[in-house]
Amino acid sequence: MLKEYISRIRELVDVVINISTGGGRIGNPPEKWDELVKERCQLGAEMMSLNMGTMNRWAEHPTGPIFLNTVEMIERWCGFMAEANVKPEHEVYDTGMINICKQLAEKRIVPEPLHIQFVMVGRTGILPTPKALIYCLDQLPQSWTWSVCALGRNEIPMAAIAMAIGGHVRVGFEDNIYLRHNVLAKSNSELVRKVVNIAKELDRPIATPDDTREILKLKKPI
Amino acid sequence: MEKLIITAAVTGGEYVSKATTPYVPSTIDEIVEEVVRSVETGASIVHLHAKTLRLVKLGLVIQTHC
Repeated sequence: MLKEYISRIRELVDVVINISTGGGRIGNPPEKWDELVKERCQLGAEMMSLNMGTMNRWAEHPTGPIFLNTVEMIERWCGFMAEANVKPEHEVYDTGMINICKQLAEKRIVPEPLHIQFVMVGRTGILPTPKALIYCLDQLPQSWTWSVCALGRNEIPMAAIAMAIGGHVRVGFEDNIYLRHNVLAKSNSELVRKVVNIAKELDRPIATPDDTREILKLKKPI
Repeated sequence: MEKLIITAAVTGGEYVSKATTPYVPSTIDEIVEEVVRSVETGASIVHLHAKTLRLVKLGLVIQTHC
């Protein structure tokens, strides 16, 4: 099914496609997840997001209150991705997960530079505050790249902070559905437009998909 | 200044449905259209989930399946 999405998108537009390692879990026990992730590595996506640890979910979910990603799972799945030329987007929900990222680099399971997405969910994870972000950044090796996504009304302010200090950003309905207080965004592109406007004022040129491939050192998927 | 990578997470993941906002794309056509619009606006990465329809007692709901 994801394959059809990917081929339809590729026909229409050039973009780096990033799919998740955590999908498909409803009705599938953990023993099957290796297989699911392996299959996903073959769909032609250039990146896959990977939660860097087990955590409490911040909202109700059909698979229960725990999002399970053990270090062993993470290491195996990063291995699958490396074999398929897929670059992991390491999703960091809490500060300890930065250490797990560092261990992946030290053990040479993932080639440096790693790309980190700080998912600042609050509630069960790291708070979406400038102080928390700076604390996280202090621990990252200089060569690594990083991006921020924050939920709800924190999405745009945290994106603005990240942009001002050299980071990258994620926006969209997965994290926030409001354009401004009490006004629903009618399209994801309205949220993209907001960060494009801020970037313009900050003199940050917008990366094209090819620029992005170069910055993140993406390879052509096998 | 360094170029800015914008990721658009367009599908609403597992927590956002038409009941949350009518504007969330839920079919493949809607999702593909949202991807194109986001890329045309400046996104260079799209974070993608696929969605599938599931019928329940109260009516049709959207379930994110991968």
